[in-house]
Amino acid sequence: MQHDCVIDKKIGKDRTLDKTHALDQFLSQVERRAFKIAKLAVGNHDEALDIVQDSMFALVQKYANRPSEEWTPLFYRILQSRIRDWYRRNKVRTTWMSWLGFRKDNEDDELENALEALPDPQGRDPSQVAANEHSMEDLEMAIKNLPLRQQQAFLLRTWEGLSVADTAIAMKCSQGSVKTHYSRAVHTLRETLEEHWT
Amino acid sequence: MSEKDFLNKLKKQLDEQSEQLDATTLSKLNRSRQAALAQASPQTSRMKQNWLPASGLAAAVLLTSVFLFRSEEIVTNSNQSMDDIEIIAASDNLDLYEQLDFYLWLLEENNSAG
Repeated sequence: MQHDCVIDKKIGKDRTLDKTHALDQFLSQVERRAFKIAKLAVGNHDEALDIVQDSMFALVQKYANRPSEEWTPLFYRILQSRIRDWYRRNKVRTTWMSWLGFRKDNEDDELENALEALPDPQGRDPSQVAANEHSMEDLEMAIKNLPLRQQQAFLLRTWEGLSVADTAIAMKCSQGSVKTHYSRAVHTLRETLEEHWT
Repeated sequence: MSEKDFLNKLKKQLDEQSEQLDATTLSKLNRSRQAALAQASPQTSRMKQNWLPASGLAAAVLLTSVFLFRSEEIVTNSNQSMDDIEIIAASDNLDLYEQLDFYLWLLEENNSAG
């Protein structure tokens, strides 16, 4: 009886370890893309990190025991929810700031210029770096300029490789809406970027 | 460029961008992941499992201790009260013993007078 209890405990512990390992693998696979998706949506490095951290916590807390195949749409659903929350909070904050007459200084621009002046840490050819960065900047700008829903549908489908059904779960909308958002996003991006890339 | 090629190119660029994340960002992501996973670790699960019975036991011990301490205090208080009553009551007797010579003299005076 006591022996059975010890075995049960060991099996339980092994399962928890397996689950933790699987979660670790899953999160390490998605964290970079999740961070970029959040950063493209909110446009702020630290806020994006906070959003990803919150999403990781929520997934582990609420859905760790769900089958691992469900983790991807669930994780992105949480991420989308956190991004929407950020937009709501930011909208209220912006309204208050503009109403109170505060305006952000050019500190961010100055920091950006200072960072651009630093040499490339990987020692790449400056012209190649410039061309590459220019191309990436174009891409980032084009994606940032998309309406949020189109942006997210595009990133989840194209980059994360989610199916239409899983994207609909992540975005809390119908599959038809996903298709519409995605199609519009691709159309806009082709119009904006294709001429730079051909 | 076909749509498929276009999308592949986009995906490749996005992958490159995410591969080029700086060390500080990667470290922060790693720390966030480890902190999140700590919730699912066996130790934390065991702590959660043990927390409820342990806290219940602690509360029960605390209540019992308080009850025992208080009841002892009540008993002690009531004993003290009884002792006090006896002392108060005994104080009359003490007066009697202290004045015993006077009462004996008074008795002798009465007897001799009578």
